[in-house]
Amino acid sequence: MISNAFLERLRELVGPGACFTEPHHVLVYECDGSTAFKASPEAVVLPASTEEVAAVVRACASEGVPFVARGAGTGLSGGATPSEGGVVIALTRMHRLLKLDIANRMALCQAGIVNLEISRSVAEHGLYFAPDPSSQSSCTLGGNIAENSGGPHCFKYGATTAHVLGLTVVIPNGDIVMLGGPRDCVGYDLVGCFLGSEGTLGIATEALIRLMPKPDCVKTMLASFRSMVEACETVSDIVARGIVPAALEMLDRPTIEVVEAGVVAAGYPKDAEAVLLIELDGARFGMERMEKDIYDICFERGAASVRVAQDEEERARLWLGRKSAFGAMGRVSTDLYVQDGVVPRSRLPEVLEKVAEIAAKHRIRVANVFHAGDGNLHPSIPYDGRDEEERARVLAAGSEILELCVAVGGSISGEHGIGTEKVSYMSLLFNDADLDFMKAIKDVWNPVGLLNPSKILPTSASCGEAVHLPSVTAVPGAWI
Amino acid sequence: MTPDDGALRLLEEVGARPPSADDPKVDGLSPALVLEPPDATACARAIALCHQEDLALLPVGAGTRLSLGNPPNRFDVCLSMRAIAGVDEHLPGDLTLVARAGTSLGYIQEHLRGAGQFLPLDPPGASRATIGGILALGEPGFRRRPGARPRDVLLGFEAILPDGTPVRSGGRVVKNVAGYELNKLFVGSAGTLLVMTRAFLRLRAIPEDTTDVLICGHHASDLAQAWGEMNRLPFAPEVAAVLNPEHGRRYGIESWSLVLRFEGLREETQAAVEMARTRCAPARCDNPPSEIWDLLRDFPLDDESPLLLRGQAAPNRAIELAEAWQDGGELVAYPDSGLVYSRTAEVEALADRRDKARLVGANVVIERAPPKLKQGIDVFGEPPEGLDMMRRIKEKLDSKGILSPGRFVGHL
Repeated sequence: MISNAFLERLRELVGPGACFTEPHHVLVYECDGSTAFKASPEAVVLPASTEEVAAVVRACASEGVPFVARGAGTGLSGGATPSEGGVVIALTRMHRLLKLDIANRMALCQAGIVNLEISRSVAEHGLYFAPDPSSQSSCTLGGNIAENSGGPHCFKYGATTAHVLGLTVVIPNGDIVMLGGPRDCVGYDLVGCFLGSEGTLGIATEALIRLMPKPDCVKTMLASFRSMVEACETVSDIVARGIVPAALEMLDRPTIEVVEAGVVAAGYPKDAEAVLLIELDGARFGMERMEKDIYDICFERGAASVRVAQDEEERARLWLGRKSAFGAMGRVSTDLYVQDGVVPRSRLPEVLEKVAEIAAKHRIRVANVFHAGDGNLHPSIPYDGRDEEERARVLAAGSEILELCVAVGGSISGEHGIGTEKVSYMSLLFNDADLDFMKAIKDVWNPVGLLNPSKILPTSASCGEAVHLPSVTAVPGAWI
Repeated sequence: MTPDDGALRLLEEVGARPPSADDPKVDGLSPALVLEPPDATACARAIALCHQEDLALLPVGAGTRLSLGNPPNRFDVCLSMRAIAGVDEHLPGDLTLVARAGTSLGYIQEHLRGAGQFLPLDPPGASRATIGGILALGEPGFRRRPGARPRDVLLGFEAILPDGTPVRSGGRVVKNVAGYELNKLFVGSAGTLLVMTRAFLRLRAIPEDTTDVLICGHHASDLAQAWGEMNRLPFAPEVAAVLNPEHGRRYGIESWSLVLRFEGLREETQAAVEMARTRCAPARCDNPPSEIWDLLRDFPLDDESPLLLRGQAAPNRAIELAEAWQDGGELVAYPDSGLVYSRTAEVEALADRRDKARLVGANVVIERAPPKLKQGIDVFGEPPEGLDMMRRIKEKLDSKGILSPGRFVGHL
């Protein structure tokens, strides 16, 4: 229980209007997009500067109060779930682009800036910020850094780690450290180590990011197939041919049905077993030939149809269907269980068949919408969370899907992170020595463990134990 | 401190031998023993023994870049990784490869050629350099663009910690956020945190076409302008290098020159050449000599000049730094990363070059210098941001300080 004196101290540090303690005020900070993990924070503070973040962290450290940083709360693995009775440090007031360096294509931004806002702010200079998680209209840069967010276009341009050059970080004792910078740096790659650490090593308050020139030509193609296997083989053929599309996304029949029945009907063929959304970008030179090569590959693999978006409106519609696919699932169920596994791209056909077998075995429905180019699966299972028996079957299926991903040489998370959700699955991938290695690094940054406790790494007690089924749901409407 | 005879005898029991004339020296120092473990298990055993006996070891690949780093505080054992070599897995459809640390890059590229793929790294001594050494140094060579740096191609690794514990990080798939990104921490750590035994790597398809363009100008500023134009093209060159006239003369170029390499579809590369000709006037456009990239790649290895410096500037100031350093030696600047390599016979030029670098906000790393000059200074230049955190990481993983002690930034 936090003392009144401590709460008063927090109010002094950030101002009374930026510190909330009433239950109805802190309610929305109980969880992120993964609503099954909830804990009620004692206080939520919204600092306005790095110095204020540092002051709050120092206060928490001296009182022994656990704390967690939070952006927009769109994460899907419970990474921003607070500790019961702890403090949430929400960075959403720190949302400014501080400095734009056009010559070097860099921008210094506060961590609370919304991802898409960065691109909007620099668009007049022909630049944009490449990481594009589907939540980009609301997720923050700080959250992208914590999760090393990807998005459809990271297939070509890499995840957030490829686009962050420097960081200002408040470490868990309240010190402010600068990492990396605008020029090539000597020493250990601490920026690289920090990216994807899910808010457990420190709180990034500012970031120097790399901006990309906007491509001068973009083509978006939609190919429909009579089987998932044909669609998967097409993906492998495109990549093996040396073509690097900006994005390669796949939706299966159950997903297409839901999207087309919804308010954002994208115009996907309703009789297709799978559609591939293929985006090419870059120079206009050679684009026609690349487009033709993709046509040929699709038809060689048995595509029923291939069409190219004729204008920006059609292109936006095709993408809206993809990006709102999970939201559309809200039509068919009260709850949605979304997995985030990765498999080698060449194993996609067999893995998807096995996922279907797992679904049949557990008498559940699975809709697949995923980043096919990266082999990053998002099997989505609609269910009724009020039905305990169904929920148990869903979770058992989810667990088997992750085991399948690991068995074929893949991973338990491609972009959602481990957070709270997958802590107990880490031992599927890593042995005790591997996990101790990670813990050693974590302990350097976060030795007391007050910052975002119980995330990523299993406790020593659970290390090596059998995998436990977490209770995981994403709200229908979550972005994946 | 001389290593204990008993400790050395223990190492001899696991195959260590005295150094021969062919074994590498580091800043004039020879190790007491050389170990060349045949596999990762033997490597772990050897490192555990060194840890137990408090023997300092330097992991070495092909030894192409041993001049880089501070002189070691101790050098008891040279851990040669060359026997732990070979490609264990290549999945062409996934564009991934698993190679053991001692495998040479030349072997890897040859292995991949038949599948139309390659590893986009071109470090100095590319054919001989081992993948373990390249990644440990984090040295991409003349490719400087995101996507083609060691930190981008390493998906995961197996390694031995300084106490002999085998560990794994990352994975074999191209997208993975399970756990901390320790791959990034390893790349560029120069053998001071762990010894990698296997690397999981991301490949690229060999581009359909590669075209080079040479742009010449009277002044460095002409090339800065030309680079600004080329950098605005819808497709950026894969490699861009600026040479001062003294360096250019090796290739028959008498002026400042900007060499560009475009990779991609034929239509793209041809359009790039056309645009270079029209946009970069009055600078003269030409075809560079075919061997230029091989020579530029190995620029840091040519040890005719006793002093080799690496300037680290903001990208838009690289050509400015090159201009400031133009006299008294050959140099090459990479304007998309801000790095400038300069070699000179005049060791006393160091102070002047440092002053000039400071004026453009650049740091100077001494990549090669006579051992005497390296005494008492940090060859990596100004202490970097986060040095204290780096020190804590080093102390946490290598509490006895046995892995390449003193070699790294801040004498870590």
